[in-house]
Amino acid sequence: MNTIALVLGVIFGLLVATPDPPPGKRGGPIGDGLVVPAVPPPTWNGDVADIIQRRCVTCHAMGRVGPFELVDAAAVRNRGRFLLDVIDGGRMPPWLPTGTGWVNHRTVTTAERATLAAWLESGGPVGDGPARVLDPPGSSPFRADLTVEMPEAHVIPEESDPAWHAGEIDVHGVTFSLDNDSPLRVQAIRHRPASPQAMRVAAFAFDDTGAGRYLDERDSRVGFLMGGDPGIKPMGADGVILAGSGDFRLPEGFHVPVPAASDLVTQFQYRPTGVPERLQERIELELVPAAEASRPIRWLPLAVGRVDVAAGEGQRVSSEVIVLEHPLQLLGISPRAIEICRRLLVVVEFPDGHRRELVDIPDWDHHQRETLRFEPPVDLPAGSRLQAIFDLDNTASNPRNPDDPPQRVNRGRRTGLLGNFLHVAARTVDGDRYLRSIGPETIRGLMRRARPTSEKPMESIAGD
Amino acid sequence: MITHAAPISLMLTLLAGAPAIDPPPDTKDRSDSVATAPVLSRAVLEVIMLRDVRDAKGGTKTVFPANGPGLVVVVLSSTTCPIANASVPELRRLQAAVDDVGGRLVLVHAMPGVTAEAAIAHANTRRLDMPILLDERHELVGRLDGTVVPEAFVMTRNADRWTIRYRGPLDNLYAEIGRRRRNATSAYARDAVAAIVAGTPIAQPIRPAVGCRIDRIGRVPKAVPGVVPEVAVE
Repeated sequence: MNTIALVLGVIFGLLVATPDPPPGKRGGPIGDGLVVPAVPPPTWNGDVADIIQRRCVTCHAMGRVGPFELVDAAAVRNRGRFLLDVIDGGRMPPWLPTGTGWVNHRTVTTAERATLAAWLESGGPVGDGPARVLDPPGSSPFRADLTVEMPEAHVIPEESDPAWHAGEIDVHGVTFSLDNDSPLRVQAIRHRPASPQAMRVAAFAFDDTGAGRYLDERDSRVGFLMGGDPGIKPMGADGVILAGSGDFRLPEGFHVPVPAASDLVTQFQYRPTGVPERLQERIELELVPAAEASRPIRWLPLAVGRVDVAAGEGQRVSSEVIVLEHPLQLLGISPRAIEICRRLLVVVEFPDGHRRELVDIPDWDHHQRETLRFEPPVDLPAGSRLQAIFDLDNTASNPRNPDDPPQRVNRGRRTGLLGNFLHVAARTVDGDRYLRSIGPETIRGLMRRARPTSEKPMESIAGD
Repeated sequence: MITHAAPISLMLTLLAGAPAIDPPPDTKDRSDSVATAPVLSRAVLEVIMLRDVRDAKGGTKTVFPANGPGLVVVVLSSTTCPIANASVPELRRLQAAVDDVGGRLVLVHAMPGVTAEAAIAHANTRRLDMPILLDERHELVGRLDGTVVPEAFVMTRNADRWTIRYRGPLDNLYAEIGRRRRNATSAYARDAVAAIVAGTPIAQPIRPAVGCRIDRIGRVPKAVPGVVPEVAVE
């Protein structure tokens, strides 16, 4: 069935690329009398509804993240050109890294795009029977063992307020007390946004140091203005959810370890919508059942703590190289970078000398942060060398440059202005002990460094 | 490839019985009028009766009344486009600036399928108190050759001729779709109004608007070669 759809899609792709055959007249003799059978145009009921259901409706339905609905033929037809534009421009569905091998890889295939274009070209026929109306897919199974909610709403303004912060804007931190007397093993995190269209990203860090609580208590409002990380643990070290993308879920047999008496510190990156919005967020945690064995996931930062880029210039900066002392399994990566970052890379050089780009994001968008999960996990032997590289573009030609004209970007954040937080698991007790120390040690190293990182990137990447 | 100029001028003639639009001025001319936009006669514009969403009975209203002000700003918009909605605070500031000089700003919902109920709810939620009209048949959208929302058209009248003095985004909040500045640093449409009042040239009369594409009534999308890489199909 899928093969047939694929073939039909390719045929339509070819047909629509030819100049203006009138609808319904496709097919017939060509060349030396070869006859191509007429192919009926795709229909909403038969072809397009399934594509929209699969690729769009999760977000573009009533009460979901998308700003408009795409649940019926008229809605899709009315926005047809716009849909093709955002698909061709790589804006929708939102997905940043290149390559395959990801969990929940979101894309519209070439065949699907061709089918949609052919349907629009032929006037958007409904097909047999009444027009289908699409329902958003139901939530995936989730057992909410622990739920936390903001005690009151934080009201975000109708447009960004530039007054208080020179760096990231439209972010707000909230510390949720977990009131856990004993350690927890978190399998999955679900974020239920109160105002889905106003929410972009939720980044998590479990904190048993009181750093998040300290920030919250200093601010008279619910939560706190978020310009950095509380303590030495970076926000997102324990997972990042892009609104509309589903849950943060680890594979069976792994968990995020949460010490007793911890808080869940969450950074919400919101989107001003033109009206004041009330954010009263709720977070649910699914725990590994007590009887099940599970391995802890730790965080490993590949980060740059300070940058200084002159107005109108570009710069490549890179993290320190981390050489693994124990074999690890890499389950995912949560990238983070400022707006002027154009490209973001994470590379590994294995002990045998061969190299692999673990993540390559050629067109970074800091509004689309999320944890990227590998399927299957990547084995990193002891001796593997890891590094992150960031291409910064502080010129006027960078459309994401928030300053017009460009301004010097001289910023530091002790815990990592640019960072990729690797979600890794050790295979041995010694390996886990090593992992528990290397993350904080690396961050402390960044905190001691007063000047921009000068570490040279790995040769193969530097040559790009 | 069909160009817009022929059918628009034909429509104008048929609808109004009025002279067709003047030929566009020299596109190399960077004066304070919009180079590629037509000069429209008032007689032609007065036949554009758009549905007034404030009138629940479906009444109509002309955008360019004969006895109206000499400066009219038309903003093509949408109830659901996130870029249009993010521009609402600037829209209110633009309205205030236009009101201050005795002009008139109208908001025209340009997306097909928008209902009066949705437009009213949108206006109430976002505290919009300017005239809000529906262009269900894309009469005005077609004549202005609007392609995306939000887009502002700052127009002035000289006797019975209207000139588009500025067309483009309200401000520079968005550099591209999905690429939003921290905050807008230039309010292009307000600056255009101020320049007109001051009698000074408008810095750049045409700027590409950034926003949600308007699917024009009766036109179908052109196919674009697929550039999305094929990935595994389940």
